[in-house]
Amino acid sequence: MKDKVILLVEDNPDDVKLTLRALKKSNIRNEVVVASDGVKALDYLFGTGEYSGRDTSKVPQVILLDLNMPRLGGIEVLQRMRADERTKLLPVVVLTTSNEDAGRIDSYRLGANSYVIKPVDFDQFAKAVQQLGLYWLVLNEAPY
Amino acid sequence: MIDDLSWGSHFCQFYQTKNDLFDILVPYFTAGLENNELCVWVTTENLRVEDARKVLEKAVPHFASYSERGQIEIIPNSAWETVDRKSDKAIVAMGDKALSAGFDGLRLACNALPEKRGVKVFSGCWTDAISRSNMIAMFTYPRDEFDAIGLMEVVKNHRFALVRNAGRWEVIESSEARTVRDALKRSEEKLQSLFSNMSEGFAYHRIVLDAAGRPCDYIFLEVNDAFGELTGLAREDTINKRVTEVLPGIEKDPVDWIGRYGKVALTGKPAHFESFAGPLKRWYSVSAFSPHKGYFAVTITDITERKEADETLQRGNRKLEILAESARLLLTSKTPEMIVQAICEKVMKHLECHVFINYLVEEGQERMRLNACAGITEETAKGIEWLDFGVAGCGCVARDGCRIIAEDIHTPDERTSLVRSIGIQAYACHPLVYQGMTIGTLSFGTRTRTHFSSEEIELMKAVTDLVATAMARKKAEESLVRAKEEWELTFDSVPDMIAILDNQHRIMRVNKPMARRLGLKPEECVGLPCYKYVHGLSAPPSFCPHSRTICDGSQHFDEVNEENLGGDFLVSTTPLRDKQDRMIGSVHVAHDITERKKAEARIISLNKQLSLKIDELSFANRELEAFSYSVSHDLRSPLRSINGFSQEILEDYGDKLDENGLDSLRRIRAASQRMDLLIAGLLNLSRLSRSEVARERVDLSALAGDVTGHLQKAQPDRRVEVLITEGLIDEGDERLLYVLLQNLLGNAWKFTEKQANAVIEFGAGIVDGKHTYVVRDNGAGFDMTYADKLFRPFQRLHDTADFSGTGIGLATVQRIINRHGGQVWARGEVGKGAAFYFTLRSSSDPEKPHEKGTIKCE
Repeated sequence: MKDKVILLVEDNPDDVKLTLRALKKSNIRNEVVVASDGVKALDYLFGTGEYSGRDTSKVPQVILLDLNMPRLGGIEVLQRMRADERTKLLPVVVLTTSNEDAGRIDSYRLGANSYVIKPVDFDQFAKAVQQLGLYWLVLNEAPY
Repeated sequence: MIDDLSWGSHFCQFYQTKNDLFDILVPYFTAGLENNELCVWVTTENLRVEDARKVLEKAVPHFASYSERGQIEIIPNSAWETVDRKSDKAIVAMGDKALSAGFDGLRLACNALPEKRGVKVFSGCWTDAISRSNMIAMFTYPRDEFDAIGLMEVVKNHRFALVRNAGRWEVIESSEARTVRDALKRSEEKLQSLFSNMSEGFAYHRIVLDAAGRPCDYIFLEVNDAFGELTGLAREDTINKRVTEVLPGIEKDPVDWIGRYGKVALTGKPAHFESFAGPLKRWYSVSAFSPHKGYFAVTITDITERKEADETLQRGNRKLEILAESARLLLTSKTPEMIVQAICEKVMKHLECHVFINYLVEEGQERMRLNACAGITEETAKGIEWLDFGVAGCGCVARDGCRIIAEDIHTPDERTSLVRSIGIQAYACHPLVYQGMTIGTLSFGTRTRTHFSSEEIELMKAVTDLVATAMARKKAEESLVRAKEEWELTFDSVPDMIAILDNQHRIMRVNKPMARRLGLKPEECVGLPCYKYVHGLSAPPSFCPHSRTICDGSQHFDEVNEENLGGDFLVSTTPLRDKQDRMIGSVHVAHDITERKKAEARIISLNKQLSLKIDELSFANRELEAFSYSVSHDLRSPLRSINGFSQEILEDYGDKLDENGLDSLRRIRAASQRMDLLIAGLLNLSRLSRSEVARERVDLSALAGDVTGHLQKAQPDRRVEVLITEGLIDEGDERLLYVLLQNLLGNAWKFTEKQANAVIEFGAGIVDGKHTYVVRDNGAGFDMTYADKLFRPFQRLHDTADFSGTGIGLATVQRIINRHGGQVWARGEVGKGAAFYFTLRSSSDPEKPHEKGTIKCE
């Protein structure tokens, strides 16, 4: 399972670092591809932009998606993904700071598989990430 | 024979000597004197007056007294010679003289004249005068001067003749005279039989005159059986008796019997009359005539029954007249209560009553006021001016509505004491009843009789009913007038302008407000076309609702702006129909809505302003949402970094730091965590302000159980006695109420942490008449001095070291309660616990029906 990639879409470098630390702490050794905004995430998924030429048949095991990002937000990313046959069924975990109802409901409507609020406390954040990894990387059978 | 001669007899005597004369004339005059007849003796040539007087003096007892009274006149033959025998004047005058001097008649004796021998002595007129008057006449003839033929001639001229024959006096009658006498006798017998058998009473009398020649009495000479039967006077008690003896007091009878009969007897003029004989107490029809002067006969018929029937009839007529007159007066009078006096006085007189009393009920009271009366003194009247129901006869009648007839009043009785005191013996009081309502009483009383006849009672009842009807009619009229006045007053008092229009748009009537607006008097508006005077147009305007009402016969409304009248009006036209349901016009009501229109305009302008404000507000709300999002997202990220990297330092480089450094790092982490809670609380608070509050059925007991269950689960070691009243169900937003209970019960849970026997309670009851919930604990409590700070955000009454918390929980509670329209307040004491009370609806909301119960609110 270790060959499966986790796509982390997060613009905040602090959060990226903390997420990576939490994954590491949870003994999740999978490769983590970080896209610092929605545009880059889509480039990665569809082999465009700086990722042009990438083998797009190699899809991430799970995508951890932030909602509030410059250029292209998480909701638009989700929308594009679900509209594309290649990424239509990819598991997407919305990992966000916001607990606004609107964001949560939109996410689920657009086919997010999970919605997780990042706790401020790192211990709790680490615990949440660990559980996510356990579920999506170990227990969950990927569609592809 | 000589002493029993009837009036009208005339006969003759043939004499030869003086003694022949004396033989006849002495008994003749004796009888006359005794029979109260004026006796006149004209002597013969061979007899002197003195001699004749001497003979009579000697033969007649008490002759002197007769002579003194002038009852006997002896006249010498010579004085007689001058009398004119061709006329009856002299003899009639003599008869009159006899009667006027108080004698019953005249008895005459006179000598036939020798020088007229062979000539008829009497003319027929003498014979006639004698036969029809109270007169008896005898004529003496010297026998020796007549031969047989002469004798027969004389006899033929008299009824009979007395002739001495062989020493005895014989009566010689002419065959003619005998025939006449026989016929007379037969006729007399017939008359006698008729007289006895006739059904009418018959009586024959002689009038008696006083010294002045006026009739003063009369004597019964003959009566028939019927007379006795009709008068009740026996024959033997009447014959030859004076009427003043037979019927004492008759001379005072107003009918003046003696005077009337006297006139008949003296003038000979017959009389016929009907009279009530006081002494006999009967009514008679009387015919009187006089067969001779001084005498009269009467035939009588008892007409008492007929008279009584007449009387009854007359009374009946009189009664009807009274009723008709009363009815006319009462029904044409505008003030029947004033007429009662006059009418009742008439009725009283007719009924032979002496008192009448009329009371009228005071409207709406159980008492009456004296309206009219007669027969009682003014003082008495004043004393009985007011009479309560049930007091005295009239009061009882008024109360019960039944008449009272009190007759033969002499025993003491409360109800009749008044009338008895004024001598009334019979009293009848009738209620004045109209349509089942007693409006007064009318009573009559009499002093002279002890009873009333049913006929009299009937009349009283009829008069009473008349009076009642008249008064009721007047009342009805008054109420009609009042109703009309009230209607007009209402019509004019309505501020709306009302006009009654006919089908040609002409004003039939307007109320005062309408007339005022037109600048006219109401009566001046009649007949004016409304479109001209109201709208200043030459035809009805297009919007005219009256035109539409005329067209379809139904009611129409319209709002009309009429500058002529200076404003806006809501006009309604309601069809006006006559009794045959034909539309004759409409009632046109104009309600001034100028002010309302202005207010409406103001409201529209205010609404516009309001919607602008709302737009502004919703813009602000959207701004706030954006802000909240940025707060939740953008403020948290740095916190997470602070927290996360502090943790990293602690974990990865902890061994390179001393204890002080480690402690500072831990504090940084703790601070970031607290700030996270603050941000979460603020977000919650702002979300509360924005979200809609649902009104659904919420089981608060279940929610409380849920909350305390979670609390227990989070701190399984805590031992807390939780008392939740079951079945507290209300309306509200379940999610918000959950947050509310979470905060309140969470606080209670938190502040009883240091309490060994912690008790947390959730209940409900009535406080100040309102359904109130309470969350109470026996924990740390608080100082009431700062109670007003409790519900402000970020205000804490406890040290963070003692009890953790953000200071936002109670602000949230306050917000939730506000959003429900309720109230929240707290009571507490340091070290003894706290109680939080809340209601879920505003005072204007209908109170939730709830089982009775109270909660302590200290």
